[in-house]
Amino acid sequence: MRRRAALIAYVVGALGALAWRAAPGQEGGAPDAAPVREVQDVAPEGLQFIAIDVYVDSGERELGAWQVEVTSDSPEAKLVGVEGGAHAAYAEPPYYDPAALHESDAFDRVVIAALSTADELPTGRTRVARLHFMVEGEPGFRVKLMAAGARDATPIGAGVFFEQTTTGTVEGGA
Amino acid sequence: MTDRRPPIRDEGEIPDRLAEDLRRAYAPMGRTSNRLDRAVLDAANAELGRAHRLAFPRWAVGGALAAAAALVLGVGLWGMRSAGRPKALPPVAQAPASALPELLDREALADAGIAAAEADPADLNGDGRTDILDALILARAVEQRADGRTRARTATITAELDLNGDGASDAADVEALAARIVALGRVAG
Repeated sequence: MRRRAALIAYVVGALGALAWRAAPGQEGGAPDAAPVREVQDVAPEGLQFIAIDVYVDSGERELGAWQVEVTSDSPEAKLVGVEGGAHAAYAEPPYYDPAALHESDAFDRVVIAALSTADELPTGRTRVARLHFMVEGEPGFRVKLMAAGARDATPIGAGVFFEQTTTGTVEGGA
Repeated sequence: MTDRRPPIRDEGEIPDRLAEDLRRAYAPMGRTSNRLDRAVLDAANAELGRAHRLAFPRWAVGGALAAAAALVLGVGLWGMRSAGRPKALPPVAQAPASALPELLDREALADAGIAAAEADPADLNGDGRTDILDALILARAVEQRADGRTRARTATITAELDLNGDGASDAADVEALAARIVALGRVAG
């Protein structure tokens, strides 16, 4: 009889503890906080350095100016470098907001732009800039042409493309 | 004639045969055998055991009581914790972005002295946006002035667009305009 009473008391205690853990707001309860174990399971896969080559295709028109917005799917993508393009007219790094370099974790986009009054301007498809990002995982990038102009600053229809290249990896994450 | 009727007895007497039967019925029983006792006991245990199997076992009753107690405890704890938390507010209806202009009573804003945003003086091509093409226009105007190829429009642009406030419109203003165009947090166009 005593053993049965002890068994009943144990069952009541165990079920009570389960009910307490399941109550909302209780630390360790599923509804409000993920267990530490789950956080450890989603640890970073590793850092990557990705280069984004931005191309603008102005067709037969000379490219006098361009403005492109580059966005990332992941806020973890950090802009770490900006280079110029392939043509001499755009060999210098384009204009960009330095805040994207120093505080890129606060931005998921960067706007880059350049103009040239040089005698020789590129036509057709030309690489106008290269951006370097440090990312975790495999984020996606998008580019959008905001403006493109000919030598006389008249708007022109142009295409924008980008190529993504992994330039380095750091195993183990940050 | 012979009288065949039983003799009349005094009140309180019983017939002899009845008396004999009663003596047999209430006479002390003889000693029963162990075999008979065992048979009776087995029959009784079998009957009682069958009745015991039909009843709920004690552990089942105890488990049901424990489950009920745990349920009451859990509901009670849930209620206690929920009572201390703010209840979720109902979702607030949000107007779609396309409906916002209709929600703005521009006349009322004008009456209140809130003027609509004026055109950006840096929108040199007048397309309603200030972008890199405006910076290119300024750069060309500055370059033409430096080359002595100043025209009326070039002079107007360079005279009006002293963005950095240094008293002159030059390459530094082109840089300032371009920096403004690519600044994050600024909605281009």
